[in-house]
Amino acid sequence: MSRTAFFLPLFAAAATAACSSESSVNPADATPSRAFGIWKPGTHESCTQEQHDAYAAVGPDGKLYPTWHPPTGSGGCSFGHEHGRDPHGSKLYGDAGGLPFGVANEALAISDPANPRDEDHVGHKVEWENGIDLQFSGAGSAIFTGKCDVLTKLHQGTHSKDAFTNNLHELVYHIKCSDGTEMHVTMLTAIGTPGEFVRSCDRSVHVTAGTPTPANSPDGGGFRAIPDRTCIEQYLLVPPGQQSNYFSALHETWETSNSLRRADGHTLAFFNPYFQVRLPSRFHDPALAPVVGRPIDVCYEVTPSGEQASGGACEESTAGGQVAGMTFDDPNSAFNGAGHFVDINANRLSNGDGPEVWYTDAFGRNGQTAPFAGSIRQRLSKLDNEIGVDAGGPVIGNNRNYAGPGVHAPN
Amino acid sequence: MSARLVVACALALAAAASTPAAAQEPTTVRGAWFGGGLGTASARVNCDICTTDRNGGLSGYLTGGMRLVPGLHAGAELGGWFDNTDGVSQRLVLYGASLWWHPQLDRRWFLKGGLGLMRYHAGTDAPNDEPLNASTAALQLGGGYDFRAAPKLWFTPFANLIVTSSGNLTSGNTVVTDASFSMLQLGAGLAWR
Repeated sequence: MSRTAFFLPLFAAAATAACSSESSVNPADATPSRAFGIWKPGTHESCTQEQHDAYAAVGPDGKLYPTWHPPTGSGGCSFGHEHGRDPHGSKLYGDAGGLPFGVANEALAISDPANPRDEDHVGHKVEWENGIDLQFSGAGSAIFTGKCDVLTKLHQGTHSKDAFTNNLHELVYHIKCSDGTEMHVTMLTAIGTPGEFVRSCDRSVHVTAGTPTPANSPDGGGFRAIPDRTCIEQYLLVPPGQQSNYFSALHETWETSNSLRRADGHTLAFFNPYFQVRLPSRFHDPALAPVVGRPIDVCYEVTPSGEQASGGACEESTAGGQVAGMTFDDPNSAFNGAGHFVDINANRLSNGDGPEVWYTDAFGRNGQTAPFAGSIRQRLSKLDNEIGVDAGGPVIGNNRNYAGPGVHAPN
Repeated sequence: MSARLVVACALALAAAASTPAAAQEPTTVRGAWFGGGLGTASARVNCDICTTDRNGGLSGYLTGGMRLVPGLHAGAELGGWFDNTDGVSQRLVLYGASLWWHPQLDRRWFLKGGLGLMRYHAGTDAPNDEPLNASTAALQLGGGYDFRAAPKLWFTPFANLIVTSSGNLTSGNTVVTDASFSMLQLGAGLAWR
C-alpha cells in the first residue's frame, strides 16, 4: 500500500470532522483523547493500528477521537469489529461533528478525575434513519403526524463483563423532526442501577453483579436486560427434539431514560431510545471466572439429562456440530453481537425560552449557558413540544446485521 | 350494514317518495319550522403536526327556526360529525345560527350561511389516554334543494362547508396552538313547515 493511500482516510476523516465540528484544530496537531488509540489488533485482525487510527475526528474540545469506520480497511484488511451503520448517509451527519467516540467519557475525566469512566473501542454502535414517521399514542394517533431524521450512537459492549456492573455508557443522540423538535446531545447515560442488571428472560429479577466503575456512578432510569445462565438453561438448552429459542435466550435490551437538565433542575429535554442486540457473545454466569459465559461454548454442552442447544446460531456456527472447539472470538461464530437495532421513543423538549446551546456536565445535568470545566456543548431547538399525547418513533435497524467480513467477538 | 349504507338507502327512498321539482310549490311558507338530516362528511384537523388526510364519517343535524321575510329563514342548528377508526373516536359538533335564502321565490334551490361554535373531541377507551379537545368559531356556507314530500314535509338534499378559526387543541394541561377544522357535509334532510 502506498503512503498516500494509507494516510488518505485520516486526512479525509479529519478534514470532514474539522469542517463539521467547526473546529479550527488541525487533526495532526490535536491532542489525543483518552479514547483514541486504545484499539490494538489481535490474532484475527489483519489491519494495523495505524490503519485503524486513521479514522479519527476532532471533537468539540479540540481533541482527537476515534470515529466510525467500516469493518474492513484499505486493501481489504479486517478490523474484526464493527460500529454499526455508516453515518455518512445520515442527514444529521453534518450536525454530528464527525461523530467522535468518547467525548462524554473525556468530559467526566476532566470534571471528576478521580472517577473516570473509560469504555473500550469496539462497543461504539451507530444507528440512523432518515425520514422516520413519528407514532403518536392514544387520540393523537388519529390526527398527528411527523417525520424525523435520527442519528444515534451508544457504547453497547456485549462481549465482556463490563455491562454486568457498569451502567454508564456514552450516548450520542441527534434528532430533527418536522415539528421543529431538534436535539444534538452527547452524554454519559446512566442505564438502570449501577452494580446490577436485570435478567433478560425475566426482567423482574435484578442480578447483583459487583462494584461498578466508577464507584460513584449515579442511578439512572431504564435498565440493562442481559442474559444469564438461567436464560441459557431455560431457552437454549432444550430436550431432544425441541428447538432452542435464541431470541429469549440471547437478547439484550438496554432501555435508556435520558434528560438534559438546567442547573435549577428544570428538564430541558427527555428522550428514551431502547438499544437491542441479538446474539451477544456473552452471558452472565457466576460459576465461571470472570462471570462471563460464552454462548458458543454452550453449543457443545450436553446436560446430564440430555438437554442441548438445537438449531439456529449454534448449528450455523458449528456447521451442525461438525466444527469442534470453536472459540468465542472465532469469526465464524454467529454470536458476535452484530445484530443491533434501536427503538426510537419519546422526544420531549421544554426549551421554549431557549437558548439553543446549553452546556451540561457529562451526565446531562447542571445545564448552563456558558461552558465550564468538563462541560459538553448540547444543542436543543427553542421549543416546547409537549402536546399531551406521547409520540415515539419506530424501530430502526431491525432489518440489518453489521457482521461484515472478519467481524467477531469482542465486537 | 354500515351506517353510511343506511344513510344512502334512506336518502334514496326519501328521494323516490318526493314529488318532482317541476310540480312543486314554492318553499317559502310562513311560520315556524324544524327539521333534521343525515349524511356523510369529510373532516380534517389542521395544525402544524396534523396529518393532511381527510377523514370520512357519519354526519347529521337538527334545526329549527322562523321565516323572517319571504325567501329568508333563520334558525338555530346543531350539527355533528362522528368517526371511529382504529380505536379513536372523533367528533365535531356545531352549535350554530344560520340563514336560509331562496334567491328566487318560485324556485326550490337555496343558499345557506351561518356562524357558530365548533367543538372537537378525540378520545379512546383507554383509561390513561387524555382526550383531545378544542372549541373554535365556525363559518358555514352551503346550499340545497327542496322537494315537497307531503303538504308540510320537505325533503332536502344539501351540501355544507364548515370552516373554523384557529384555536387551541388541548390535552390535559397541554396545548397545540393554531388548530383549525374543516368539514364538508353531503346529505339529505327532512323539514316540517
